[in-house]
Amino acid sequence: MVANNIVEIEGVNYAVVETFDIDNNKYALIAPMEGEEPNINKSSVIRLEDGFVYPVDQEEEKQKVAKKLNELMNAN
Amino acid sequence: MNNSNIQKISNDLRRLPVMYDNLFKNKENLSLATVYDYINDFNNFISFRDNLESKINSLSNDVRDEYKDQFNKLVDSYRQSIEAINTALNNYRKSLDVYKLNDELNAINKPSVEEESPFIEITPDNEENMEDNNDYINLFEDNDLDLDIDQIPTISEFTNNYEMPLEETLNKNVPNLEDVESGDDSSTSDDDIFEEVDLDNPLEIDSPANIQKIEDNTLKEEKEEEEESKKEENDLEESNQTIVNNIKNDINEISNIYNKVMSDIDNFNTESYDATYTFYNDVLRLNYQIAKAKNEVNIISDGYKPELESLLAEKYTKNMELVVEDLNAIVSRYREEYSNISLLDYLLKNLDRRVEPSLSSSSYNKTEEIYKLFKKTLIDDIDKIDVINEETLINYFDKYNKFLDKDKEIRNKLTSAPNNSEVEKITETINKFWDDNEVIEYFNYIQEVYKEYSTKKISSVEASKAIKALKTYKDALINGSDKAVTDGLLRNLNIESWAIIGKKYEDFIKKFKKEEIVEVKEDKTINPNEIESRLIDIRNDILSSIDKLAIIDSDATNEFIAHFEELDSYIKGLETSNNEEVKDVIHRFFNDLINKLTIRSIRDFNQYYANTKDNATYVNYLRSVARLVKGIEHNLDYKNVKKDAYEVLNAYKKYIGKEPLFSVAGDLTDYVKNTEVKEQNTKDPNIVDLSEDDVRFVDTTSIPLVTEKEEVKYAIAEQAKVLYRRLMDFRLRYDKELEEVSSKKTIDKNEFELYKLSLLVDLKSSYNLNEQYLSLFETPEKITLDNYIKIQSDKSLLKEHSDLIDIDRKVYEVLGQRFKEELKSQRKTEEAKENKEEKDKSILDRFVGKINDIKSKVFKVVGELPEKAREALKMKKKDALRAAFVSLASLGVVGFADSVNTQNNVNASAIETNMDGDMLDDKAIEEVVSTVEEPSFTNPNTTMEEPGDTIENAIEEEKDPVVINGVEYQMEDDGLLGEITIGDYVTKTNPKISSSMYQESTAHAYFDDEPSVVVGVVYANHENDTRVVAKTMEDCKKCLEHGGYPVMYKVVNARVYEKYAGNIDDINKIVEGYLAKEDVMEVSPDEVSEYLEVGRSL
Repeated sequence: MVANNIVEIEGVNYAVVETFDIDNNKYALIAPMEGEEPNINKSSVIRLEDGFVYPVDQEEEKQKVAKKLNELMNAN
Repeated sequence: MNNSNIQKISNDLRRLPVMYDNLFKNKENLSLATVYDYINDFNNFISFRDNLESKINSLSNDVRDEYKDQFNKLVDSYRQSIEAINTALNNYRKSLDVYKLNDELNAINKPSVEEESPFIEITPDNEENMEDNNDYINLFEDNDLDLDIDQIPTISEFTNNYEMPLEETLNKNVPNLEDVESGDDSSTSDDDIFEEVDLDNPLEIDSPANIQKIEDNTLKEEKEEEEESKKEENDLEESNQTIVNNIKNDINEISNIYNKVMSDIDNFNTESYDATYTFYNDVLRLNYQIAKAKNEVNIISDGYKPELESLLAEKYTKNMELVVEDLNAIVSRYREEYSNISLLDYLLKNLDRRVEPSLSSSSYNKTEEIYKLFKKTLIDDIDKIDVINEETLINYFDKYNKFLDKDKEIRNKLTSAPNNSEVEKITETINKFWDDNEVIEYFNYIQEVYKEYSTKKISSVEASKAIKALKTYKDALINGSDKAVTDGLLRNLNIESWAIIGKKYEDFIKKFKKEEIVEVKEDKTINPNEIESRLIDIRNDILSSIDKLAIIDSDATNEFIAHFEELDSYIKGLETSNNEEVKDVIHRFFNDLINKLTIRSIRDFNQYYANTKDNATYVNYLRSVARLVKGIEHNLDYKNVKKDAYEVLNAYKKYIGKEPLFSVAGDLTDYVKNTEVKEQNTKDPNIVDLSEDDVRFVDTTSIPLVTEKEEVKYAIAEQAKVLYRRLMDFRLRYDKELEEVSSKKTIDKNEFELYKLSLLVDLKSSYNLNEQYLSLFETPEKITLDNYIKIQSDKSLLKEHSDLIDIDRKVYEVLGQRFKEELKSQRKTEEAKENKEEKDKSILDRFVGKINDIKSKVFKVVGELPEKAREALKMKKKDALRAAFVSLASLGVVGFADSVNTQNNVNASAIETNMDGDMLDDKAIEEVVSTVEEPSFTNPNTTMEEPGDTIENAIEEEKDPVVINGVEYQMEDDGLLGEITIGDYVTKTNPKISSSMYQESTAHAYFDDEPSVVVGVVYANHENDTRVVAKTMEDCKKCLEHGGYPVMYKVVNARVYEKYAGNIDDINKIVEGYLAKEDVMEVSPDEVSEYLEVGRSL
């Protein structure tokens, strides 16, 4: 799965803004779609595993994701 | 009898034929712009006819029949043609096909009612006689006196024979003669019996007093008649004057409404559905007013006509006429796609309403704008043409023709305009436009297509394909695809269309090939990755579109085929390439079993469908393929995949009559063999083994497909059987695993329950069973094949039943609720124990984790972002990253939030509201429980509000959000502020609402099947202990303004709404029943029947 796809999670469409790997896990930064355009106001990060999607809910994992997001933000 | 009423009815009877005639005069060559005038005329006629009938019915008996008779004769003579017009208009409402409407209307012959008109024209000269005659007729006919002149006694007979009984005579109150002579009737009795009798009493006829009295009465009657006659004349004049004044008012109203429409346009806001609706209604009102005034002027008497005509001409100017025509075209389009606000917006921008008939100083800019817009419309709007929807083609041609008219108009004005710099500039703009090669190419080509289409030499599908082919071809050139692709497009996608248009276009094609392909080819290189990625994307689109197919909906099938043909053509185009890299891509693509199945077997099956039109088989086949592909992709349970594989193979062999081409069969067989190896390794004697024979249990060809309904029924039965076997397998595995787990004595009760639920969900998910089957599973005695078939048949025979294979999201709600209940009882029993917080936390964490696991399994890639959205995302990526920080922070990690806050300066207050830190107190637990309903990654509390700073605004600056009480909302494409927006609105505007309520309402919004069917939000106000149901955004606002807050968001959801067929009374009763009986915050759909009963009994 690559950035710029639309993914459906529980019937809601999200735009995939960015994908990245941490510790061999794949993550995606997603933003809900409103109409045709993605709305970044409710953006979040999800973990992708075996074609399924999981929330980032472990403390350690969150820290790592935060760090990664920080890197991405600085890079942008 | 009221003369004034009679006069009006007479006038109306004269108007009726005129209005009827107008229905035939105005029907010629209706267009999208004029069809509403016609509908107005027709509606006016119908309501006029009905009003007239009720007026006649209200007349007194003595005159009613005469008018009724005239009316009935007229109406009877119109009946047939009126019914025909009505049918044609009803057809139009369904199809919006104005050409068909024209045909149907033209086929209606107006009956020659004038020759045998039953109507006797009433003129002022004969009107009085008519009335006299009426009286005469009524005297003998209506009163039914049946007099025989021979039986009337003579005066002497009467005198001699009449004997008043003595007693009666003595008691009679005989009047005093003197009183009679002096005219003093004060002494007469209250009954005045002699006053009445005297005049007819032959005994008194010769008395001087009576003679005098008769004379007086005669004079009095004459005077009264004279006065009445004058009064009638005055009434008539007054009545006419009233009508004229009414018409004048109606004409004046045209300007008012016109100004209102113009102001609507100025105030038009693409984000506001209300504004759009107001505009739409005002245009309809304007049309109605114009039609009404024109009709009224037509039928008014000659004396007033010139004055009114001149007033009408003054108010309804030529310029206005042009604008109204434009508006009507806009409204027509809006009706076709009235959920698409942007379409209306676009059309409004194209509305050249300010262009005056003369060339003004601003004409140059306007002209340039018109031509610029037209070029854009000419090319870009081709994408809006839908091959299977003729209306989209008509819209396109409408715009095209409208521009031609405008062009002609402007050029005509130029010829007579004085030569100045403004005129020169305009001329230059026009010349530049017509010198543009791209415009000319498109324009000439489309003109030819239009000519072919309008003369019915080609169908709308062919015309649409031909136009789209040109655009595809040109785009391919512009985007630099290689020659092989463009040649492929020409040969395969477009060849049919080009050939249809005719030989003269071969030159046109040659020109493209010679001049442009070579140029483009030299500069561009092939990107095999892009081609491969494109192929996979289109393949995925095809698989997704299979989900929309329905057995009884052949339109959906046609749409699917159109999509598929596009892919097919693309592949064929690639296959012709000599480029090794492209060949390699194709080889790789078709070497993949999934792609072979998706493309090649469907390609063959399309041919089967084209020959047989057997939609049920076709749809079932496609679904088997889609299931199989998804199963292979997600590596689901081998048995299901194996069964699907057999289904695909069997269907293919049965209907196509041979082994699938391209080794699909071989590949599938290999696949099944591979899975069989796995099966041996994991063989379990308690699991039902499905052999090849098992999956071939139904031969649908042996069942006579009598009707469409029957066809659906058999398809359901077939599917039910498959599911039944799947369920039995499921049940065995479930029981066995549970038995194993429960045999371990050390297992904790809670853990066991959790395990049961997770097992249930895991198995359910892999077996694709929905809630309905799950409930059967919980009561095993219900599981019979008959039950299955019955459930499916009862649901709705003619309803698409894709939910048989979909995982029903609803089940998560049910499970979520169950978790909550379990948690509550768990907490009660644990309260006395030590370390309860830790236990709670542990249980909660597991619940949440489990639920998140469950929820996580509903995920799929559904498509690719549109180009402009992609561009916008690039610009906004940083904002998205910041928002994601907040989202993570809101999950309750203090250290993380602090670091985010200091490093990135994100919205601190947004984080702080979620930073309670202590997860163990009641409030925190409630919050965690509430997340059971809501996936944490969509936590709405993480919003970073920067008014106006949205991607939509970045893309379309003119598209302002809707602002309500300072909170901004983006309008959804369907023109509604959706449920989620209501949830946002509620929490953003009322600080009393806790985050758990917020999450709950938002979760409901996500879970609802259809946002538009939610009927209301229940608001409570604790201050005055009241509850109300708000059904609109306005109601919500009022409730909030008065201190209310929402306690139940989803009173009635889509399923309930469907169940009660949208019967608002029942739904209201359900709500009332709920309010009367419950004081909890949620209601499950299953409980609504109970609430309905309570509501009804209130």
